[in-house]
Amino acid sequence: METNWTRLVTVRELGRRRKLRVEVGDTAVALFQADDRIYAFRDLCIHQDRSLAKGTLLHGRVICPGHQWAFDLDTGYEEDQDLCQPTYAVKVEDDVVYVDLTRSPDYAETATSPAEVD
Amino acid sequence: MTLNTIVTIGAGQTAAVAARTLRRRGFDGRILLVGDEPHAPYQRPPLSKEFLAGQEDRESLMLLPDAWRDKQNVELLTGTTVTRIDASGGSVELSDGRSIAADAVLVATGGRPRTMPVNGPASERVHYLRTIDDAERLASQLRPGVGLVLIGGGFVGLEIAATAQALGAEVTVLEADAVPLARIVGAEMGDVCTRLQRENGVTVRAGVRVDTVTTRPDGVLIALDGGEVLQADVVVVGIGIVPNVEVAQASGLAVDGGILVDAQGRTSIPHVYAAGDVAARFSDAAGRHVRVEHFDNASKQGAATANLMLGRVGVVDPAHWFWSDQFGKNIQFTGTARYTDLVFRGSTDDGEFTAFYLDSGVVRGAFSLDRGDEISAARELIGRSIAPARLADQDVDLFDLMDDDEELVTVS
Repeated sequence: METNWTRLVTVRELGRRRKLRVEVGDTAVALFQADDRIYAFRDLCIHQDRSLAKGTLLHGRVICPGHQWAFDLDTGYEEDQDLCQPTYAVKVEDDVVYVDLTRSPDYAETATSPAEVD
Repeated sequence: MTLNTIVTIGAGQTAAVAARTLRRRGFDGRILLVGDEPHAPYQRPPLSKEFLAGQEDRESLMLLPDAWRDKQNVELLTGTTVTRIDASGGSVELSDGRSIAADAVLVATGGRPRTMPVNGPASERVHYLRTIDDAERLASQLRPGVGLVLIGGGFVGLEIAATAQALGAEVTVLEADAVPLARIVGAEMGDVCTRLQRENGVTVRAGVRVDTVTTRPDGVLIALDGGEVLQADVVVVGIGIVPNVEVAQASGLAVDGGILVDAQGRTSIPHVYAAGDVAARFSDAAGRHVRVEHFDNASKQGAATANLMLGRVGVVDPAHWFWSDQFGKNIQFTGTARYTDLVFRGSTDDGEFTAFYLDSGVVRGAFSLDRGDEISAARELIGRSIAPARLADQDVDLFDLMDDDEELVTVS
């Protein structure tokens, strides 16, 4: 499969806050670190374009500061709204974080999508 | 009992979430939503904000799009009122005379605006805001230079004020209480919200009582207690809602300022549930029945009663939460404004801050301006004893404070 990995930041730069907004071309990406895993989301919330990087990580979800929509870190799924925030594939090599905006994370692809169950 | 058919009376936020939850949990029987409005279920929060401003259309408000309802086989009856639940006979009776079998019923009839007497020939100049049709009628009259008077300075009223002001209207808000919103968020935060309005050009007059409202072909006269008369082109009355309890009363359900339900959402009659704005649910935390008129409450109760119908019992007594968007500022509130002390994280002068409501050292609630991330944390801190200096210290991560609590005072 063709890949389009873009080098973003080092794990160290993601830092203690565990949240960082990074621009990749025209797309703002929010990086999150939870339980030693790194996740990449489209930064602007599908609800009203608030920045998810300013949100809160809690119980395996990122909570938007705008209206408390809570997206599953693995899938981007918002259960109450039955909607998904776009998520991107991430890899970490030699302490550097790469993202591929053309692909979803593997766990989102392989997991049974909640949206499809519905 | 086998559940074959579930009927919701009402087709708003609560009913929509219940239907979605039932299907998600695998219920494959008949689901029928009966609503008195001519529309499929839609979101109400944008009606005073983005939709009123013309930034969102009807389609974007829809909660259960046609394609979803088709695929999920969720039936909808619009423009129809349920007159009575016949619980012993297992049916609901419709205004058109039909009777529909129902094994379980969710009463989610919501509320309607509390009204006041209006005299004169031009009643189209006086508005209430509850439905999509109300919002479209009001929007059609909001133009630059239009004189708008809002009677009632609650959150919906202030949101309409903000939207109208941004559209170029000349806006005056009349509030009977000494400080708008004081009963909801306390006087200090009520003042913060009032200041936000005034800084953006809205005239807010508090402690003002309206005596009469009289329409004329060319405007509206608002006579205040004390004799002063204001003039407006358009008036919006936003003085709260009245719960729609008629079908509950006609069906013999216990009603006291709302349909009385237990902590899970059961009414006084088996297989009949109530949720959302119309339901007065027993709250363990409050120690009494509480009726809440928030979107979040409607969603959570809709989901809880759907789960309950399927045998999933869970006590749902979350801290209240709501938001308001005014003049590009995002206000959020959680918990209750019962407090002996107010602890600030950040300053009201900075345009963004969080205030924590502490009652004898215990966090009871929080109010934030453009700091919704701290509300996520505050929800987790409610019921805990946290040192004020730690709450106020912006170098301290609020989530680290969860390890601080000397004692968990209540489980919420």
